Amino acid sequence: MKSLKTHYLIWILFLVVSVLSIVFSVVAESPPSTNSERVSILAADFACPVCDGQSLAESDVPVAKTIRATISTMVDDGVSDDEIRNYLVSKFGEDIDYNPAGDGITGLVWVMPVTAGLLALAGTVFILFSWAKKDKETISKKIRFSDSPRWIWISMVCLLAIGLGFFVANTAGSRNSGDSVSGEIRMSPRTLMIKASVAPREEAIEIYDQVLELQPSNVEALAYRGWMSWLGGEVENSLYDIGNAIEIDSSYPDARAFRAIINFRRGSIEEASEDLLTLDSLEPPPVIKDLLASSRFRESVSSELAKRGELLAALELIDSGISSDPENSSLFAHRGWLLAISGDQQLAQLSLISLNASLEINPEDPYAIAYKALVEEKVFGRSEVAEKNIEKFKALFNPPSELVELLKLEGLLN
Amino acid sequence: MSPSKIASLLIAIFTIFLVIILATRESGVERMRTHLVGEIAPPVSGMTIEDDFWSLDNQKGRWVLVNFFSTTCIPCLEEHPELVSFSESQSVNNDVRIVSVAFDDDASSVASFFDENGGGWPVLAYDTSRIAVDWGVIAVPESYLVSPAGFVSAKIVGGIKRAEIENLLLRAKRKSDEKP
Repeated sequence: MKSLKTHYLIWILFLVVSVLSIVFSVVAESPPSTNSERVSILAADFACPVCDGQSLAESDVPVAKTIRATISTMVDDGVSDDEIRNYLVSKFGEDIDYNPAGDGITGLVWVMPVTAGLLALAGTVFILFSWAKKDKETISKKIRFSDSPRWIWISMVCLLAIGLGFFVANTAGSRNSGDSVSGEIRMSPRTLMIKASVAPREEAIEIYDQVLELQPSNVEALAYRGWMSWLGGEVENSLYDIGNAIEIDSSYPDARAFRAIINFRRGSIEEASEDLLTLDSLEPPPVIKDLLASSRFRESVSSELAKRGELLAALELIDSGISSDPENSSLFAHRGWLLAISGDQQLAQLSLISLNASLEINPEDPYAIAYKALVEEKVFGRSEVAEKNIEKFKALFNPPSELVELLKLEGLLN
Repeated sequence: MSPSKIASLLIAIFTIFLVIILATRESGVERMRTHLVGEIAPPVSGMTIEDDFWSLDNQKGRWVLVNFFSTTCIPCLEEHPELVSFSESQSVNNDVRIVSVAFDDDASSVASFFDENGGGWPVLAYDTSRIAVDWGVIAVPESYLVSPAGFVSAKIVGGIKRAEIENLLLRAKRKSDEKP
């Protein structure tokens, strides 16, 4: 009696869990709230026509970008998901549709899981009945089919199998994390990239490797793997990855910034300058702007150019930086310094204009204060004005040591 | 017949059915070469880099070569002198109009490219994504020869040569003359 109760309890639990899974899968699919969410969902539902195993949402190749842009326009125009689906299939074939229609040959995608489920079920029932035939008494003690309406159980299990088969077919098309019935078949490249951004260097490289296995043309992964390699001292690998990233997408600013830094450290100043000039036309994200500004990278490259006698190129680099970041006081200060060291009296006048512009933006810019003191004293011979600036400099908290050294060298600071 | 024999027979029939269907399906490569050929040409219209409006609908009665390209694609750069040469020959023959449609490219790069490399035909470079998708363009360069009646007569995947366009045009003309 006890075993009979346990037996029924297991079946009931099985039924409850299965039905709840189906109900949850239907309820959990809330409709997209914005047009861009709709575009993302639609893009994830189609394969990129020229990539291996990547959806339109994941791929960065031109055709994927073009189709995504078209989906976006159509969504904004109020075209329904079904119309967009039919349109794309008519243009690129059924092969790109991850959730094909149930008619024609593509209907097999839906029919086969259900058929397989039914066949498996039929096989199980067949085996059970064979056992029952062989040993009626034993089976009747364990299963007690004769005590309950057998056909009800079979029908219920059949319905459940069909439902589950349909559910599997319906959800298995998309394999992004959380979308698939089998859970995390693989994490999406986006999830991996987020994970990599907070991982230690070695682990981050491994994650970028995984992303690049999924998306060989992922420029972000290439550029950041290159950057991580450089931080680990692998210069050649680093330049190879970053070079590939730029080749795939010449407008990706992070890769330009990374290559500029690496080239500068290797002594390839002209190449570094070229990448920085290109970067200015690409609207770099704030994180890259901050990286370059905090390390005064542009000023360092510009100084090196000036040292090599390429003053015009040095000025061009600083001017380009000012046009993309007009509130950067350090760039104005450096511009003033470059003009001052030119040795030309007219340019020295312009130098003061730049230094004053820097101080207008940031009255406590240590570079502007120090350079102004030097220009006033050494170029114009105005010791009083120079002295005032030296006093200002002395009042600064923790001024850059290179400036202290410079002022000491020029005899303006003890 | 025993149940196992019936099951085997059913599985065999199902397998044969699958093989026949899959074997007779149009392959991806075949589709890529012939997609749109013989069909009505999808629309092409928009502003050119010269700020003029251009539409394929206004070209009825003329042969048109619709060329999809990008300034960042090497085969497109290689085919450009061939198109220029073909276009120059058309100033005498005046048989075919060329229109270029930029694919995932920005209008300023396209304008500079045509300034530097020549090519006086209309070039659409603004919001061209929908045109490219309408034509099912997968990778550039791709070119289509559109008949005076507005049907796609030929599709060329990859870089094109002047002689190839002339041959295609000749064949397409013969074919259209043969039709009653």
